[in-house]
Amino acid sequence: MRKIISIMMIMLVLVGAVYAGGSSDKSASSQSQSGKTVVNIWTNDRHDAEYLNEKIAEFNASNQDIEIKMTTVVEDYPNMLVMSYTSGNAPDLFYMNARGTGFDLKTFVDAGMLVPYPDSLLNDPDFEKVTDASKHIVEGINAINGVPYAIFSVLRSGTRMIYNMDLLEQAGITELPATLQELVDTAAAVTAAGNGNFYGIATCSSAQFERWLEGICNKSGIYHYDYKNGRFDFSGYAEPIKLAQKFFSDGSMFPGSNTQGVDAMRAQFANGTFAIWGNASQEAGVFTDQFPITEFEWAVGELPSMDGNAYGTVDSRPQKGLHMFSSCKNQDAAWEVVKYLNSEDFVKGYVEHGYALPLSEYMASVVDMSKIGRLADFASVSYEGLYPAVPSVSVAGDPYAVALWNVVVSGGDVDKVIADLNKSYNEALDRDVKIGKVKRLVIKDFNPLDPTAGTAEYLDK
Amino acid sequence: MERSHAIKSTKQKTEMWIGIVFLSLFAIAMLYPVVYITLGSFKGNQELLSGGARLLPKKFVVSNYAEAWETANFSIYTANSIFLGVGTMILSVISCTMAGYVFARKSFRFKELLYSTFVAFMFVNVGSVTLRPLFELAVKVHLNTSLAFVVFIIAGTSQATQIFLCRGYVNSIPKELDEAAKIDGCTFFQIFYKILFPLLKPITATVALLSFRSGWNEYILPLVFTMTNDLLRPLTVGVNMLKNNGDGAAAWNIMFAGATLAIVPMIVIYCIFSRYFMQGMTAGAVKG
Amino acid sequence: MKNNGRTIRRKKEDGGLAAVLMMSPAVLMLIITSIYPFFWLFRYILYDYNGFTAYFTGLYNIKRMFTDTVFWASVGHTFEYAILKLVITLPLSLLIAVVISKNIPGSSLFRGIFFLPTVISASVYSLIFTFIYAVFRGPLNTMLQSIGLISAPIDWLGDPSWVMISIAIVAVWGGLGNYMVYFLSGLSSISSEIYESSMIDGANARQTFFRITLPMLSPMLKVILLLAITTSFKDYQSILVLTNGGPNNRSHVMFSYIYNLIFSSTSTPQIGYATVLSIMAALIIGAVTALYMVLARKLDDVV
Repeated sequence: MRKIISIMMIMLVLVGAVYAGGSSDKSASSQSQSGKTVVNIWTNDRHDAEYLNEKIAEFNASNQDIEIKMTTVVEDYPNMLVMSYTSGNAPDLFYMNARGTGFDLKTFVDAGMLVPYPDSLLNDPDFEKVTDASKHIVEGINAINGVPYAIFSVLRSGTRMIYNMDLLEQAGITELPATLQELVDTAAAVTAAGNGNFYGIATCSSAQFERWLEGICNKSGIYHYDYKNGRFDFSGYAEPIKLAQKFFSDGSMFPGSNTQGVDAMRAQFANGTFAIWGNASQEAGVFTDQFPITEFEWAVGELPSMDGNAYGTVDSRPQKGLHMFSSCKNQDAAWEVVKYLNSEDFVKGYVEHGYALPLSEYMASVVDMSKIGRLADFASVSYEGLYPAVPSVSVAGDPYAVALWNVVVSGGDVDKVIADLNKSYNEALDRDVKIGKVKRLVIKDFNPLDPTAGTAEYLDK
Repeated sequence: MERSHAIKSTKQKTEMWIGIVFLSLFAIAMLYPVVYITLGSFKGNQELLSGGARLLPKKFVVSNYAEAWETANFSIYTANSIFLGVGTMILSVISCTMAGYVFARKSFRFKELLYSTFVAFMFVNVGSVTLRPLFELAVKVHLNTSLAFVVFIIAGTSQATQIFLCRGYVNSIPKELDEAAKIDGCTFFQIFYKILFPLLKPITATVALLSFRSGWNEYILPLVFTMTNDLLRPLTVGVNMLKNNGDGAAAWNIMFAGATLAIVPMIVIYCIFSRYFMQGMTAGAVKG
Repeated sequence: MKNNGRTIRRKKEDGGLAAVLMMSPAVLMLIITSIYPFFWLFRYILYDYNGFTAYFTGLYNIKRMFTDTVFWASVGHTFEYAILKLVITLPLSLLIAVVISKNIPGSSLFRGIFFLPTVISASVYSLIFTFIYAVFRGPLNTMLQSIGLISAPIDWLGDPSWVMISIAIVAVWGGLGNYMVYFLSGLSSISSEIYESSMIDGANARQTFFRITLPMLSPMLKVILLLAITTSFKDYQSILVLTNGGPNNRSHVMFSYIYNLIFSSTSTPQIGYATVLSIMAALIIGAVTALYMVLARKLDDVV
């Protein structure tokens, strides 16, 4: 017994010492020891942490009045943001990429949590030059009623298909697929040539529908929200989904890929065990630095569509948008930091590290493209852009992406699933509009090839 | 026990060997995933993620450990984990042995009701939803940025089983001891800490091990409570942070190295307490 | 018992204050960490609450619960999971405990090995199993194929007919050590004289087990069962990592489904609806436990 008690005592003392040391560092304060104003920033990115920390250290060393402090929050990011705000521990600024998972700008703005970008910053010629801010204002993505709450500085491309050219060659395929039917056929041909050693195409355990199939649908002019009439409409998905069921019924999907993590599938692609992988520009870094592909040729192709032509926009993902919480005490200092993190020098270095593509025309002209390697293969194409954010409704049942992918895998009745989605989504929209939770978004002059051009209206019914 | 060896017949020897073979087979199955993590933590990321049946790394990447230790602030995270583990352990041991003692030795109004409430919350579990009210409460009392409240919650949510065990153990100690102490002039509390607590060694060890484990392994609570302060994160959160959640592939090999490091202290604790732990479980549960 | 208590109270009234003080930490923790959050749940049952703003929706959440096929399927899966886990874990851990308690060479090493998984957190070991379960050249499939048990690889986590078994295997792996320790300590309370006398009577191992070990163990067994039932109905962490409820919601249990409503990354949090489901889940687990208690008492009368 004495032994246990003494062990406990030792531990208690140990912990007490450590805890006293650890808790002396309170990060929430807005004044640093040196008397500088502290600007707290949250980010959910880790891949660029090295560069950001280096640039922030540079800033902190040279700036006499402001100190930047960055915290990485990796899990449940939008939830953590909300909880930090409601608990009074919110950072001053936070990074969020366009269409960040689980984040709905309108909800944040309606709750009075965010501060819009001031005109002084938007009218700053340097800021405009680096970000092309005025050209990238998208309703519901970084602006509400045209008022911007975030400005992005760099770009992640829309989805592309990445091919193992050696495997395609072994299957006797010389041209990259331009239509979904050709993609299905190519995958089947490679699988047949592989004879169990390699397969046609793969997915992974997360965001399966969004990974590449949704982009194929979008490019074909199919979208789940009918902006002109302000209703959800999934009918267009029937044809591509029925076609995509073949990936599974033909057996050309890499076995088990539906339940394996994205990184495991990247490693498999790099091992040459399947031929077609769909993802956006971040794969450039993955396949050159993290899992370098040396054994075979890989090519980046545009997304196929139903007939090979583009009738609609494919989402690209502008990144590194800073948002300011309304609880920020030193807004001027924080805007100063926003300006620094969108400066030419900062963005140029960011792009040249190969983290993302340049967003503005000016930046594209000053960046040394020879430094970005295979990232250049993912450069923007004409039909990539952003759709205005669809009202975020509480749907009973699976989210559409999950429901649609499930029917792709199971080979079940597509029309029934689509009818159910039309019903559940529109019921949810009607109900949420009625209780005042969301507003119905209508864009009468909506153009699927230029989704941001129309005039957005929010209706109460 | 030595004696039973002597009288073993041939048949019993065969039985013993069957037992050993059976255990060994299972031990291999049980060890396989642990070996997989440990050896995996020496692999390169691509090799690890490619999976496959090969256990041994093609090349031992020892730097995974150095990287895990440095990028994850491991020394600080380990200290925070120890704080969570030991804090939960101390709070649980003190609170549960006392409560178990009172439940076993004192009769008072609503005792049955109170006891059933404890037991009821052992079963009624509303899972992750409770995180929100607890966090809101912590905000109100300004404890949302400290690990102390996390300790309190972990100890609170796991206490029912432990009180249940303690009460059972106290019941197994003859009441005559109390009576004798009382005649010697001990008060109700003195009986506890002078006479009974020393006798509670096995159950104390049990509660200590169980509660240390729950504090050590807790993930979601510290994740939420430490979101504003990187320096308060425990290993569970820190190890998960080693994965890269932004663009590009996560460093799973580093995470595995971190996870392997995080297992070691638990094993040490187990070795210290296991002997008492066994005794405590027996008496506490049987008389429960 | 009751009489005894009363006499003590009459004799010694002065311990009252001490008792209250000694009880207070536990009661305080009970109120704050269990009772308060439970009643907090009732606040939002009539609302659609996304974490910022609560919108009154009347009885919609309750109506929705009754027509939510995924939820009721997840209730079924919870039972399926719990039963699978209990049916494999308990006999297996008992068997292992009995063999280990026979004082065979290396028993403490075996004990350590079997306990080892319980010190690893569920999220980490579940992740390991996603590698082990890999279909294409995965370790498990390769091994089973090489010894000729299966002819084609099995999609352990993607095949609706296998996924629950695969998840249960992980749960058994993670929980076996716990129950082994419980059983071992139960077995150590049976005195060796009883075994020796049965050996002299010429009983074989099986007879000894069913005639002596099991009956002697029954009070302990009841407690272990109770603990096992409550934990296996509450498990969900490893499911989130292994399948996140898939394929096609085939492996969602109640709490993984509820978790996804609150922390989903693809849609807005539906906290109001999640609280309704949580209360239902609590009621279901409560009913199961109550049923078990009644049965356990009945068994007592019979034996």
